[in-house]
Amino acid sequence: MTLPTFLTLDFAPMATAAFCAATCAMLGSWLLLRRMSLLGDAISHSVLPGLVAAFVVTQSRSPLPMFLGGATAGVVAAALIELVRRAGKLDSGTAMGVVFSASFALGLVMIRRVEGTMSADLDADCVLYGELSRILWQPPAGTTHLSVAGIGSIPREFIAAGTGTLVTFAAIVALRKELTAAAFDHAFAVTTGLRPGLVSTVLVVLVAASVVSSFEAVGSILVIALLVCPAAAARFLTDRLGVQLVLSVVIGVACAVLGYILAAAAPEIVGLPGAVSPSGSIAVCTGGALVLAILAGPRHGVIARGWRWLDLASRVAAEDRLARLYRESESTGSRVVERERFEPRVSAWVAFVSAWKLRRQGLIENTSKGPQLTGSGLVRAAELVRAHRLWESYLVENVGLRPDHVHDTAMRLEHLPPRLEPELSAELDPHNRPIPPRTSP
Amino acid sequence: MGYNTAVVAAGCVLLGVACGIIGCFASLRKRAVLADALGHATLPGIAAAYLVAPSLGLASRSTPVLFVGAAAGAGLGAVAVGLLLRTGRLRADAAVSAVLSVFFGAGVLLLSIIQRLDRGDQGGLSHLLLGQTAAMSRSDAVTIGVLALAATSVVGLLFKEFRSLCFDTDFAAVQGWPVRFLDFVLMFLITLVVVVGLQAVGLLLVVALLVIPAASARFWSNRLGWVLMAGAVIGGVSGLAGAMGSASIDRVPIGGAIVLCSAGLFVLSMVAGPARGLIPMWSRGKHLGSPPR
Repeated sequence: MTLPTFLTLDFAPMATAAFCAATCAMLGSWLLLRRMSLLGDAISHSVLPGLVAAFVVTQSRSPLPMFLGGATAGVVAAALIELVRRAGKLDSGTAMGVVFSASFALGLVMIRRVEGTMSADLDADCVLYGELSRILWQPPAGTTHLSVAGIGSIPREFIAAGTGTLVTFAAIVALRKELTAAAFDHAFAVTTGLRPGLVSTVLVVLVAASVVSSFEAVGSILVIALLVCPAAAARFLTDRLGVQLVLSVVIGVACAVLGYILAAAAPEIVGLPGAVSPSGSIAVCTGGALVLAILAGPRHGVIARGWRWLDLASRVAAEDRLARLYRESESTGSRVVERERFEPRVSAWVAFVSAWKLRRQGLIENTSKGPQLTGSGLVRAAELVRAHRLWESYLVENVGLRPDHVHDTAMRLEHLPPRLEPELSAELDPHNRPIPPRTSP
Repeated sequence: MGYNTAVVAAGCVLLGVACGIIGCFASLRKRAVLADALGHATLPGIAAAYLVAPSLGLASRSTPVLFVGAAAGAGLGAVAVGLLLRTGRLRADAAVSAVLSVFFGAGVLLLSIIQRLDRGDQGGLSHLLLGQTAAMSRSDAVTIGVLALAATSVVGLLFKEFRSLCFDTDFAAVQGWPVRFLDFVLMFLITLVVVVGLQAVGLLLVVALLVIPAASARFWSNRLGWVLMAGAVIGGVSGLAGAMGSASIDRVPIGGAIVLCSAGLFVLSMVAGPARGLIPMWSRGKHLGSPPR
């Protein structure tokens, strides 16, 4: 594909989608933190009657009236939601459900009523799916894209989306203190005069504006994906607010570009004629990004959390087995434990990993008669049993529990780091068994 | 009123009644907004069923095939919301919005593939978005009616269990009732009415049938039985009025008409509902000096 073809066909829609994604991701992070994600959903449904009304009044799809109509409808819907919630004492989900579905229904009925009665064209499809692939950058004949006339012919959707990104960015930078306070500590924001109510209103207006400026490109429902998914994905990757905002924008833009390219290129590879819906593809990409972040997030991801759990569970299981072997050899007087008691409390998976750990660290060796603690295993096991019996003594003497009630608690406490073990000079535990001496300094 | 209109109207009334009752339980159990995600999640299911059906030797436009696809999509959506919530890092609102939009996006993607394939029989798939604009066929209306009746009778049979589930889950568990199974049954019923309802009002608006009558009913009484009754009546009346309005006024889609009727009834309920409506609350407050709890 040559550069002019790319600029004509693909650059403008791709960049428009990327701008929409950046705007939505910035706002979506705040919505997510304020638990208002459903509001984006509600507003994106409720702008419809405003759009249709503006279309009917002006008889055209000129951008400014459409923008004003849609944004007004979005803000009115948000106000109605608040009114219904307070006056009707309903929970906010229900209030949103009532208001947005009613206004969406109103918009659909209005569309169907005006369909075909006017010269210009507005149908449900363009509102629902967006018209990314219809955005063309066609410079006047005889000029190139980068000439003055060519730049003058940049499609208005592109300019609207870029302006939206800039305005949103400026607003967030200007209001970052107020937004942060309102998101994390509402009471603090109220008492310090940071006006969280006003900030909420500004946020609602910004969301309405960005939804309206995005709907032509990506459609009214897929804009929800751009609002929610990149922000939610970033939430699994970081705990820092600034990083969250930057990451969500990066993810959103990456999904927009990748989704657009996939929609354009993938069908040819599979052998389908033409391109598939780019807005659908972008939405699916944001979903994929969310799933990826949930799985692979460094701290909060499912894999990381599962790994940490397995690490801890197998360490505890391994230490329990060491201590058990120590006690048995203590009672029989022989290093080799011929009949090992297994306590099948752990899953097979954890048992497998713990056995692997013990073998790798060389703490247990298997003889022909049975398992046996090695020299280093004996030291480690003595430390554990010492911690266990010290904790038992502590629980009896300092906490005042009965000696037959302390074993299970001590079983847990013995796995704490050695520096936390109780400083007692006892030589026998409450069951009159010797407490092994401290081995390491 | 012609015979066909009467059948469609009857189907819509039964659907409204079923949605009104199940919506009450759904909103008490805080599952009402989930219906929105389920409604949108039916789209990829429907599109996939349409794509796959011919290779299984089935007619791709047949109602049962699309029905199974829609139910599978909604079920997957419900599972996805559940999994997102289990991560513990996303709230219900974000989980619902994410599933709703991504599943819908997948549906749009599949629909655009179907358009490219140009098998020539995809007419009607897009009707499922906004409901059947042309008159529903008689068999569709009968299917809707029968399934709505079935859903209503399940609620009737499990009334006592659902009541405990919604108001005191711990009590239900202590009574030895299978709480998780009951939750599953409620989810199944929500899915069922969503799938049935999308034939009539379209998958974008099916959430309205579950949310609006239930929210309106809450203004009429503080007793569960009466609330359910009110929900059923409001749902049924909306279905009837919507179907009639759509039939008598030119170019008014039936789904939009039903939802707008129920929205009108919601406003009426919020203003005048005897238990929690604005005017009764206000007049009681005037007599007592302070609003009653």
